[in-house]
Amino acid sequence: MGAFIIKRLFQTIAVLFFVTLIVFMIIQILPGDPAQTMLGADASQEQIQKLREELGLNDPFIVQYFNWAAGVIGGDLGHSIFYKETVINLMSSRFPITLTIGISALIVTVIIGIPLGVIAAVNRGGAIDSVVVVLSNIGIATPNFWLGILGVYFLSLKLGWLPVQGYVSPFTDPIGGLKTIIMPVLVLAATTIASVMRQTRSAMLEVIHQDFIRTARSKGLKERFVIIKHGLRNALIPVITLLGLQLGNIIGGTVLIEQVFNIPGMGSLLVSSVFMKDFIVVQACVLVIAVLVVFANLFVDLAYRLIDPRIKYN
Amino acid sequence: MSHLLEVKNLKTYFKLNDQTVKAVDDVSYHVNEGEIVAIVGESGSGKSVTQYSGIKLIPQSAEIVSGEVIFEGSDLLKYKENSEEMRKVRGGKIGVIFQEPMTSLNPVLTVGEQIMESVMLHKQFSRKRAKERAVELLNMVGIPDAQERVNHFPYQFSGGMRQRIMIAMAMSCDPKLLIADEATTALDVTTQAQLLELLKDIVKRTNTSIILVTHNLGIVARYADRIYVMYAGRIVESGENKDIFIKPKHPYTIGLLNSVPRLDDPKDRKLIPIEGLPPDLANKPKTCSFLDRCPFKMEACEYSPAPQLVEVDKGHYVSCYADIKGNDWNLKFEEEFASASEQVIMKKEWKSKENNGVILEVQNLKTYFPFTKGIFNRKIADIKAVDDVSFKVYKGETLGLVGESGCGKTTVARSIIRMYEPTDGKIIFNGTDIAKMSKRNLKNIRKNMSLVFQDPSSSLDPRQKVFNIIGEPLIINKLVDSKKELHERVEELMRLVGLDPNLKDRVPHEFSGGQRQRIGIARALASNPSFIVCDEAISALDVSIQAQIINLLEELQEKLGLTYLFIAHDLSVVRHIADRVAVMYLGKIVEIGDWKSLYDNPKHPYTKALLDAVPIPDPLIEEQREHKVLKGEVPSLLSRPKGCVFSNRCPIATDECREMDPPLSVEENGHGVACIKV
Repeated sequence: MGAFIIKRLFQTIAVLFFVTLIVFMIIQILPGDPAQTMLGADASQEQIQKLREELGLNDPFIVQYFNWAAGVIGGDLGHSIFYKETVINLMSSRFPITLTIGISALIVTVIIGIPLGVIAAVNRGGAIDSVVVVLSNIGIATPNFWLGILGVYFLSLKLGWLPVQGYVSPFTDPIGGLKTIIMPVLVLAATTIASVMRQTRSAMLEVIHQDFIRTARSKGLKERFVIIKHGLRNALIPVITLLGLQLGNIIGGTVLIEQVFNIPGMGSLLVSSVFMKDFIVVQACVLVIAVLVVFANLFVDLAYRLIDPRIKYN
Repeated sequence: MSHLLEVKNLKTYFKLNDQTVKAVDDVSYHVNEGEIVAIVGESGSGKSVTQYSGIKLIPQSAEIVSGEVIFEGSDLLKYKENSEEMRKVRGGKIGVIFQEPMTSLNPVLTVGEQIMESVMLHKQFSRKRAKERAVELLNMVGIPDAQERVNHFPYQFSGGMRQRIMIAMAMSCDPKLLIADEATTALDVTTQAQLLELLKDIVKRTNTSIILVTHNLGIVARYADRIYVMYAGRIVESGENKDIFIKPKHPYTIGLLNSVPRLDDPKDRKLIPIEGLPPDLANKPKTCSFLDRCPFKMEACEYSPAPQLVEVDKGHYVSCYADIKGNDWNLKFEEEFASASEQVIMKKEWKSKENNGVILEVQNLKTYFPFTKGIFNRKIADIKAVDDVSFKVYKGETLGLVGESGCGKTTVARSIIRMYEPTDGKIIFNGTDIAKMSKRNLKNIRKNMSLVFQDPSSSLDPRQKVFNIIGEPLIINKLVDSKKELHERVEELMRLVGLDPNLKDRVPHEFSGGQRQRIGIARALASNPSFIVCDEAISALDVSIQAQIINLLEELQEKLGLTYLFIAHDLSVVRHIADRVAVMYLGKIVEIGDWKSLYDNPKHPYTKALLDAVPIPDPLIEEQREHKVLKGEVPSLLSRPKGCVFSNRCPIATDECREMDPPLSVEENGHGVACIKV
């Protein structure tokens, strides 16, 4: 297993290299000049040239990339051109917000999606099953920003139950914080809940017809025990794979959701930086997101082993 | 004395697509304490559903319509499926051993945990005590190093070991009754013998009763006290073991006994298949269910309702209007049957086919697979699936290749037709060595050899019509010039294997198992091969259908002069069909010879052990036989013992055997043995 983790870490480095290189390249191709943006429309050509020289924008693209990469390895994510702040500083206030929302969405997905999927499978063809199947189809088909707009319209504007936008940390103000994140989290999780529900249902349907479930019943175990201890654990492998994939969606989803609910997280930072051509910040955001996704997938692979002893890492 | 289990008039029906399938249709039987009762029947006879009805382990689509299942004085059918009372019986008083050891254990829980949960539930043991009990049980069923193995997962055990664990689990709460549902069917003969002896031993020691649900008449003859024969959801005959085997009265029972090849058969005995198929259980006739297949039917049978069980002798019940009695039943049966069916062929006296010349010669064949490990998939060892095997096949003969799973018999076959690339050695087919021949040249040779596979339902493309399946080899090998010729040839092939050519536009699932195997045979015959490899070609079929296919293969051999390499694990079938037989163990041939000298005078200790393990469907003979059980299991190909491959299980092995790899020394009559002790 040690060898496996080392092998995966090497792969991770390669992935991070290519991801950041490609994003760097795209930013370069986009029209617009960060020096121009910083100095405003009135700046003279000379001033712009001078700033470009200072920022290293006149170096060849590949040199720029490696300068940036060397900084990252040294622990320096660079300075934001637009905010005039170190990227680390910028991130330190925003990253926790995104993480809170993302992890909450993941937890909600697990505690709603998996049990509903199991219940639907056990009552296949029954009323609950039909509801779950319809809900999951709706969940997968509905874009979550639209769900967000609907939620804001009804729950906030019409009923006034929840704030329209903004963010209060639930760690400092539990009730107020909960009120601000409940809608973004549910909206963000809607699609993932739907697909996890569907995957759990179909995996369970397959497992509960396996011979070993009959064996478990033949021992006189309680039905609930048979389903959870013997059934669910065997059905979890595809569900966990899906969760790993959905994590990318959740992180991508925060970019949109933070816009809809006006939450000052990393997603909104990323969007505004792209508009500003603040490529240093964009790079840093992309790097953080890539690291998150890559490590999440590593954990997924390690989790397989915990669930299914037959899986060996080679 | 009241019975431990008494089932009265049980009816279990399945509701499928608005049809009612009468899987169990008015079945009554009983089991006494300490008794081994066998329920015999072919697939679809309802033998398993009958057992599972009482403990409510039946699928949701099944419904118990009526009846009583009295166990220790109370009617189990009164209990709800998941009620407290039912769960106490299930696992606590009635244990079940299922058929498939590979899938019946939960793969993600340790075997200890799976045994412990039963004990903790029914006996209220603490975790610690439950674990001690699990170790004790594993020891009882013969798992070595139980203390350590209790923490292992099912995938770390072989099939035979898993079935032992299954037995330990079923026995964990000291049940009064064990249901063994085809418990040894998926296992090799020597393992099967080990487990059945174990079960018998358990009955003796603990006075537990066992219901053996099986299709294997040999097992029944060897182990059962009383027998119930089931057909199409009903019991057609029941009685003491000897009553059933020596004085069978129901035409179906007689048919079953006649369709199974036996180890003690005369070679020219013809197998008498039961023609036709069992009735559709959704539209069962009001008359006797066996009517359509019955050679004894009388006019009255056509108009009378299904016959009831009648006591014809003390404790011997039969449901048949025809009174078949005395010693002449066999004679009458054969007479009637032979005239009713033209497919029955009289076998000629056996003689060696050596003078016909050699069609295939395998010289020092080695087929190794790489075993890899680590980040870079380094090859660290060879899995020697076939290790230095040599034999000849003569034109027009059948060479039987037998051995237990993992012995390399299938690898030999696949190497010969180059589905696997041989690592070394020569494969001389009709005078040319094809072991290293290029793919392109091979194509011309390939049409002369073909394969019949084991599982007729998975080896045929479900979306292709029979016409395309059989026609494909004709088109690929350019054996037909026109569409018309193609159609004619396919129809001819279908007739040849006993299929109606009008069915050529159907897809495989519209046929029964036996018919599908006929399609497989027709496909193999399409390119006009002279050599056919039958890889366990009949082992997935029911016994009465097996006989039909064996007869078909023999008939085709006679007609077309075919040569067969017949791979099987069933020694009785191989004895019946083969001219010569080779026995394989761990990738090597340990004994080879003509069928007579090999079966009458086996020399290698492994061959002897295999033959000892095969039960004969005759209780009188079984009583005389000494039940020697071969110890241990087939080792992994990676941990092959030093010296003779069989040395670690051999009862007569000495130190010399553990050092020297014995060569196959062949006597003048062609009988070869790889053992230095004979």
